[in-house]
This record gives sequence, C-alpha cells and structure tokens, in this order.
Amino acid sequence: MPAPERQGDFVIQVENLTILYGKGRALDRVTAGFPPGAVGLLGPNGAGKSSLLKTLLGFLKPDQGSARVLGMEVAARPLDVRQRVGYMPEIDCHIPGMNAVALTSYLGELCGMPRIEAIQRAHEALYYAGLGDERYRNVETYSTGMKQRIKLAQALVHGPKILFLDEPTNGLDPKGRMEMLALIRDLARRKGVNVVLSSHLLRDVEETCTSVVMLSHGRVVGAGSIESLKGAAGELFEVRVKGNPESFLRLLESRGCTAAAAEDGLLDIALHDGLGSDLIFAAARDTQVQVRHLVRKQPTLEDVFARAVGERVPAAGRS
Amino acid sequence: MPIYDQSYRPYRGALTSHTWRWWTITQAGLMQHLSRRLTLIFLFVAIIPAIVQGVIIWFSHQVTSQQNLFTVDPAFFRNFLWMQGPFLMLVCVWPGATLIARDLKTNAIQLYLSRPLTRTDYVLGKFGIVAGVAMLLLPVPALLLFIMEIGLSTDTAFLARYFWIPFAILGYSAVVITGAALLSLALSSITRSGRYAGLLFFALVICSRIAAGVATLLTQSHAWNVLSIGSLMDQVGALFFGGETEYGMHPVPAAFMYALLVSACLLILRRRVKAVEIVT
Repeated sequence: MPAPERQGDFVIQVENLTILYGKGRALDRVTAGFPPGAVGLLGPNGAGKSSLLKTLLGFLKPDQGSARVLGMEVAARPLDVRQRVGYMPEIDCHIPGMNAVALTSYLGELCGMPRIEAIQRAHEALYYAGLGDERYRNVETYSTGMKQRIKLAQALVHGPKILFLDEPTNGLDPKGRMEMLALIRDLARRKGVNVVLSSHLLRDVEETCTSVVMLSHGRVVGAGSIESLKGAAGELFEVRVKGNPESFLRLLESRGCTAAAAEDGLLDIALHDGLGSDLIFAAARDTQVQVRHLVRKQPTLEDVFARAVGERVPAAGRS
Repeated sequence: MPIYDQSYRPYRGALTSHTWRWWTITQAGLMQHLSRRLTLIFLFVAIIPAIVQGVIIWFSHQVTSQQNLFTVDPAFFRNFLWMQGPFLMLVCVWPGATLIARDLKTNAIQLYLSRPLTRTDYVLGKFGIVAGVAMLLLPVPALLLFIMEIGLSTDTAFLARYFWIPFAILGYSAVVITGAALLSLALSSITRSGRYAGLLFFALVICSRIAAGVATLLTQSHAWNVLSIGSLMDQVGALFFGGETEYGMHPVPAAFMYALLVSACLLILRRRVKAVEIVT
C-alpha cells in the first residue's frame, strides 16, 4: 500500500495490528490509513474486516500493534473513541420490547445526550434512514430491510464523526440496497461524516467510496484511492481467441502482462508499463491463435481487487 | 412547503457525565418493567405482608393489654425482611434472570457496548433494575413500618433505644439484594433463555437448601447451613441485627461463603458480558 503522505491525512490509522483467535490470525500485522470521506474496507468473507472494525471500537484487544481513531489511541481511550463513532453491526440486533423511537433515543441517551434531545434526534435519524411512518412499531416486528435502517439510525443518533458500517446492504432487496447506498453517499459527501464501509460486495464499495483498504486472509493487500488503484491496474483488454488459449496466456504472462481466463470464453489481459496492444497480436501470431474479439475495457474495482488478491473474484462477490 | 426538512445534522449539544450512564439503563429497565400490569399485581401482593405488619403495629398501640403479644422490636423488623425473601426470589427470576439472557438472545450487548459504556456500566445498570424493584419490597416498607412505629409512639423511648434499626434494615437489604441480584444476573448471562436462567435460579436456591438440610441432618452440625444460598444471605444480613438466627452458623464462615458467592457471580459476569464472543 502507498505510504501515508502526512499523519494528519488519516482519520484512522492502524500499525502492525495483529489479532489472534486461538491459533488463527484474524489480522496479521495490518498497517493502513483511512483518509477522510468514505473508505471501503474490502475483502472476501473471513478476510478480517469485522475484526478490524471491532478492534477500532475497542471490543478486541490487539495482540500486537496499535490503532488510532481521530488521533486517539483505541486501547487507551475506548470510551472517547466510541463517543465519536457510530457502529452499524453486521448481525441482527435490537433491544427487546422497544419501538424504533424508544430504542434509538435510548441509545442516544447512553451516549450522554439529554432525554429530550435524544428523542428529537431519534425522530430525525429515523426519518433520515427512511423509517418515517414505521417508527412506533416494535422493532421485533420489523422486516430485514427495516432492521438495517434502524441499525443505521441508531448509529447516527449521537452525531458521530465516523460511521462504521458492517455489511449494510445485507439482506436488502435491490430497491432497499440502492436507497441504503444513496444514504451512505449522502452522509459521506454532504453531511461531512467519515464512513468506513465494510463489505464483500465490490459494487457497493465502488458506488459509495472514494478510497479502499483491501484485506485478504487478515492482511492488507492493497489500499488507496479507487481512481489511482484503477490507474495502476494498467490498460485492460477483453479478448476472445480461436485456438489454444493456454499457450497464448502463458506467452503473454512471460512478456510481462497479467492475463487470465474470464467467463464465456473471454480472456482478460492487462498491459502494464507502456506495453502496447501490439503485444497481444504478436503473442497471437507466435502461438498461432486468431484474435476474434478485442475490446479496451474500463478497469473496475473488481479487476483491482482480483489483481490484489491474485485470484478471480467469485461471481457472488461482484453483485 | 415544509419550513424545516427532516434530515441528518451533526449533534452539537451538551453531553451528560459518564459517571451516571448506568442509571439510564436502570431507569429505562425500571420504567419498562413497572409499566406492566403483571408487575403491578405482583407488587400489590408483595406489599400485603407489610400492610399486615402495619396493622399489627397499630393494634399494639391500641390494645394496651395485648402489648406482650405484639412486641415491636428488632426481631419484628428482621422477621419482616425474612418474610419478604420469597418475593425477592421472584424478582430475581423475573425480571432478574431475563435481563442479560434477552440481550444475549437479541445481540443487544453489542449495541450497548458500542456506546461509550463500560461492561461495568452495563452490569451496574442491569443490577439497578433488580435492586430497584427489590427495594420496593424490602427496605422501603420496613423503613415505613419503623416510621409508623415512631409516629404512633407516645414517647421517644423506642427511638432512643432502637435508633440503629434503619441502618440494620438498609444493611440487611443491601446484603440479600446484592447477593440475590448478582446471582440472578450471573445465571442470566450464561444462557440466551431467560426462562432457563429463572429455573436455574430456583433450582440453585432450592437444591442448596435441600443439600444443607441433608448435610445438617447427617452430621448434626448447623455449620452445613452455609451451603444454603438463602440461609447464607439471611445469616449474613442478620449480622446487622445482632447476628442471632435459627441457622446456628458462625458469622465468619458465613461471611466468607457470601463473599465467595458474590465473587463467583462477578467473575461469571466478567467472562460472559462481552461485545464480541470469540469462538476458536
């Protein structure tokens, strides 16, 4: 990952962070910086995203390394950190026997807000999250989509400076997902809230975030602004050939390209460091395959991520 | 056209001190519990012994020839507190045993602890709910009975002689409420079902009583009464009234066992109340 330009550029910094679960490593010497704005915490299931968020909240004690949120050492000042952070957990959670207003205002009071203000803020947060007419219903009767919305509202009620969203679109239908992503975009771009969006859905991160931190097997495999990462991915081509694609791909790789078989018989080829598309035709000629289709592709976060983790992204991960 | 659009805005208001955050949990829990009709019926039934004791005090002042039958003395108040024991047990089962179990079931602990709250704040808040209801059953009516006795007395002899009784009432109540409430919360934290936690509480109290009874019968030694959770707490509480009980326990081992019980409950709560459950 690129080295931070200045310490002050990051709202969250982790250094050499290691979290052990028994003999397994949830996080393995993670060093990363989260700039202001919306940052995607990207990785497949089990990559360590939730563990990182829980460490930043002070739920998990690092076995090694340190984490700072808004300049505060998490291990030394967990309460000060949680005062300034809103957390939307991945799991389904609520306080039994309460309606949405009672729950949200109660959680606001637990952050130190006076009761009247907490109630007022609860109404605002619930309206904002899209629970206007349903806010007096008992939370236990809510659908999955409504539960996601109340989780967002409770995370916002005390006016946090940073919002940790752990898989916020889980279980949402397409319309609900779009609305949730629109809210996240609005929070990050118009409301001045720094957002850390943890997701295994690349599209969600691409639609809402400007930067990413990519994790795989508990390690950082890439970080930076999405635009710069896409640029670093090189010139991408989608190619279909007639003939033996294996020898063609091998030759391209030996000449410094990144090449992989994609779906529907297509090949994804990335050319780096000023290599021209002539190289593709030369390789085709040398391996005696015919190029039947060649299209320049706009690099996506999926391409960046696939390159970072060194594997193809499973279809479910692209959504 | 709306003059104010409901939207998100940063909060710039004042914040209360962290010291009393646990009280928010207690307050909300008490309001939720006391708003139930069943709770009000229970409280009404639980207050009947206090009404009966009040009538006895009144009667002892009305019928001078019967004064020997109805003596209002420290034993009178201690017996009243002891009589309220079954009601305290019910409070420990409901709501006590359900408080943490329900939060575990609905993953609410993560919501609590993602706020600027410590685990101690959370447990203290839940403890306050059980203690709050229990106080309505033990020290509050006992203190009212004491005030009634003073009010009906024609002289200050009773107050001069037994001025320490309110402190004894508070001390006894603190001991039994703390022990019972912590036990119910500890049991509540080891299961996701409040029902099982309640049954476990009942089983522990009753089985420990049976075990103490059997051991006492076999060895002819009252020392085994320390095994009974109920007797143990009553014995330690009775120290505030002079220590005389029918259990015949020595106060030192009783106090030691009580401290052990409280420590075990705190240890269980420390291990079980966590924002993240790590499965390795």
